Amino acid sequence: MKKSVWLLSALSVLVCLTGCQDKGVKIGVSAPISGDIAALGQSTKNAVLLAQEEINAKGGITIGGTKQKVTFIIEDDENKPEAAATVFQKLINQDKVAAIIGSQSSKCSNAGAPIAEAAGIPQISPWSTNPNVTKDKRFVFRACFIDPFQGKAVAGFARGKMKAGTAAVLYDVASDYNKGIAEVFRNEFTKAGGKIVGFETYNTNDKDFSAQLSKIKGAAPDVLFLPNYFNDVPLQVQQARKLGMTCKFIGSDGWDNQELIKMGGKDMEGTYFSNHYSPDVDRPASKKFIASYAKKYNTQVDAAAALTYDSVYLLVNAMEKAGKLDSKAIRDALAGTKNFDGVTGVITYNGSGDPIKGAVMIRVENGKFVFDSAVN
Amino acid sequence: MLATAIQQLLNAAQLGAVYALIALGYTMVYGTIRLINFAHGDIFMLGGFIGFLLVAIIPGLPVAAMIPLAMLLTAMIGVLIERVAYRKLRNAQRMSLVITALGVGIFLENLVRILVGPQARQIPAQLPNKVLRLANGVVITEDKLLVILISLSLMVILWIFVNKTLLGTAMRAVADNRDAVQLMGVNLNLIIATTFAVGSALAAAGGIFFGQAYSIDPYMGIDLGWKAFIAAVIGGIGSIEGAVIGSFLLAGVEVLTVAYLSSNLKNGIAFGLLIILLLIRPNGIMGRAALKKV
Amino acid sequence: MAEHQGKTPLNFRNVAIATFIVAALVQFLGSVGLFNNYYLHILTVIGINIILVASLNLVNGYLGEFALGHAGFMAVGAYVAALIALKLHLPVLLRIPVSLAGGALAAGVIGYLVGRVTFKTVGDYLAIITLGFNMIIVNAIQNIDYLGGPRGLTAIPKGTDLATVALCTVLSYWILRNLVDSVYGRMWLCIRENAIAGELIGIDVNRVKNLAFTVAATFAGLAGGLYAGYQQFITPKSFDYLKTTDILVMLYLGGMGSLSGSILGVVAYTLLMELLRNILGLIAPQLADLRMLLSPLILVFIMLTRQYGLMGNREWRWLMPDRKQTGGEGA
Repeated sequence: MKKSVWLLSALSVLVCLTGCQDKGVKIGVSAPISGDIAALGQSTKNAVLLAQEEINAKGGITIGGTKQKVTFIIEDDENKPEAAATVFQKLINQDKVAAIIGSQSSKCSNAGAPIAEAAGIPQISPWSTNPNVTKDKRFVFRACFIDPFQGKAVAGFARGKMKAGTAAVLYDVASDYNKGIAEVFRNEFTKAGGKIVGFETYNTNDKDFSAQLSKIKGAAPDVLFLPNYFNDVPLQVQQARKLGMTCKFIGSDGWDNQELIKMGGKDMEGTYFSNHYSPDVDRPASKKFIASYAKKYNTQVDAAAALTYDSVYLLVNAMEKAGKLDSKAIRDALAGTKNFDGVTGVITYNGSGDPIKGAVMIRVENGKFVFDSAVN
Repeated sequence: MLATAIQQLLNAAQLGAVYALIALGYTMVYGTIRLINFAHGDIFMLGGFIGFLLVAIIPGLPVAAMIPLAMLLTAMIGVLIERVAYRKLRNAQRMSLVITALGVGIFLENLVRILVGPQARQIPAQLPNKVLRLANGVVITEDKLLVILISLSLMVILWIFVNKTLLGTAMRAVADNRDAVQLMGVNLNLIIATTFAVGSALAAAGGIFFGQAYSIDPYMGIDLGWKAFIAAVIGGIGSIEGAVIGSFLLAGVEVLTVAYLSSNLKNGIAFGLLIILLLIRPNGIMGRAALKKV
Repeated sequence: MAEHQGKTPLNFRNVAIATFIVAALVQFLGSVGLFNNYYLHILTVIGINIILVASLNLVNGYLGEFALGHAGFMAVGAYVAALIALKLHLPVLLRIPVSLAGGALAAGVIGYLVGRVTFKTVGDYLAIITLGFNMIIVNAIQNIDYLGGPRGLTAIPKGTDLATVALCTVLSYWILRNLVDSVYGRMWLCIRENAIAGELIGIDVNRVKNLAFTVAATFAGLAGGLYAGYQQFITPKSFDYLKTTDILVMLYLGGMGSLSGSILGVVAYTLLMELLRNILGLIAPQLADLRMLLSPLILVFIMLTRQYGLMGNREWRWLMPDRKQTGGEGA
């Protein structure tokens, strides 16, 4: 017993001693580095490190006339809410960060938000679409549009440009991102005069969707909406094609990753999805980021990376505008952001933590994501 | 109506074959040393990634060479894991071993994530994967037909191996009474190592087929491992034909729930039915009664 | 009572009181900014996890079964407590005890019903059935919009702080300890060692087993309620089999059949994970990635060097009731 007590005390002392004190601006990042959406965590990390390199190459962030180097402290939240809560506590109280970027999944952002709010530390979540994340919170922001906007955009596109009379949906019932958009789509598509003929679900980590797809095939929809992540979508489209389904496919911003084409190949041709931005649109901010990201990591930008990158610069912009590292001043500057020229579009915060920004529809053509139309 | 029903049965057969590929290796280890090998799903994943890397490193490697090579490498890793992480605990209480297996599983997942990356991958299709069109729009792809045939033939081969060969007889003897087997002068370490080698090799083959027909990612072994565990228990502990029957049954219940009840409640209904089944047959479908509690 | 225990101040009652006073003090210091809230958070999480792990120890350790559904009962407790807190609009002093009691009670009732069904089987079949119930509970919550579906419930009123958790942990521990030391505890051990022999000496095996199961589920529900009130946000995925495996790891790391081990297992595992996070980040940020690679290695290493976990079937004497008073000297 003595030994174990000694061991525990030694461990506790070590935990207490390791709080390090650096100079400069510290920004915390909570990301799913391991766990079931580790691929998104990788993109987050890439974008953050690229931004850190760029900012420090210019001498740092200009705060009140002096340049200060920035350090990002990236912590792994394992895509588990309780781990995210621990990460937020550590970043705020141990590392004394000025603000937090994160997390990607809504469930982790939701676990962190009350902590950031109580501590008065600004939080920007790149890609948490759940409306509750920012609801009734002053210090919590996001860089993406929320489900209602995107679901409506896609439903309008399916009814309008694709002239679909009937639609079916297949989505991950265990994930709030997928379920949120699926339900908005169902309502909006019906409201626009269309008919939903299939509304099927699967569970995260399923790889075989043939049962659901066979059922949908029986209902013969004009279009199949797949509001799911890029690692599932190619399997769904491939399996649907192999079952002999002839309908069109449409998706949401979860599709935005080159893996979609790498895995899906020819089967993805002619599909559409809504996204935050398009590499085709001639915007200097997008072009520059896409080029430097490709150069540094030898891979293409995805939605997670682009939104993270925008979150970082939204924050840096607010810090420079605030002129001091006071968290309340940063929060006020962030909330007052107008016409910020980001990678994923022009961003304005209008009182709440949800940005006002447009969406684009992307077409997959010859193995590339091609701009189709803009939705505002 | 009928066409959809037949299609759904084919879908269930495909899914069942995938479960069976994992459950077969699972039940071998499980039957021999009663280890709930939570790392088995991760060995399945590892086998798939070894196949993926082999294709990536040696371009043009024919599938007939890649599969045996990946099976061999994975078998070696399986034996290594047993030697390093399990052997010392063989006579400890059973649950210590279960936790060690969990640890090994988490280690493998994160090792592959760090070395290969977290993205989902597909092994470039080298197996025939044309779509076969049957009557009335019912379809099946060649690779999935192949997976069904392979898992059934593996079952037969494994059954012959376990029931008709000397090594297999020794394995069954170890399962029945480990101490007595040792008194008879059988090399226990050799038998258990063989079990792990065969189980891991099977998992590798499964992982490669899976990676061609679907996709592989570092964390896929968790869910599939649980499914295999469930299939093996439902079929009856340590029974090879039971593992296959359990796999097809689990897949059948899942697919038919989606097809005729509700995809939302797939897990709930599927597990509800399986629980009822276990209450009717408390030792699994092919299991022997009067299990000695450990 | 005190005069019998006399000799050493290190006895359960003193430690329990001290724990509660220190927790309340630390909570106060933390809320005024004099104590690092990160450590406060870790202590709170440790407290909640001790209740979870110690209660599962009744079934998996003392009774020797292999239940795999503890997170499911935690989910029941968390959701019921959250609903009470969200919908009933009680004053705060009433809200906290009512929501916690409601969560624990609901989990206990479900646990009793599940136990009735489950104990028709043993061993790995029991494992599958409990795992199945866990999955059914999570799947059901995902499909009930009133409970927020996969989005979960947000903005749950803050109902838990370190002082509340410490009080609940100490009380739970006291009850569990006395149960284990009671005649029921002996019966559980007897069933674990030889169920048939137990039956022959007149133990109502199913009833006694179900008692352990129900008590374990009740405390899992309490832990769930504490979790919901502390995190202020719950989602069905927080209670899936990954959570169950986390609980199992801490349980077996600490050692089966040892309540002291349950404390040690939780503390050691939590500190290990946080220590890795801090040390690796301190050495070099790039190494942070290795955390999830090193922690399972350390876990395997500990299991290999200490086969029965850190405290398997042993107890810290001072945490157990005084033998002279209970008179229950068995061996």
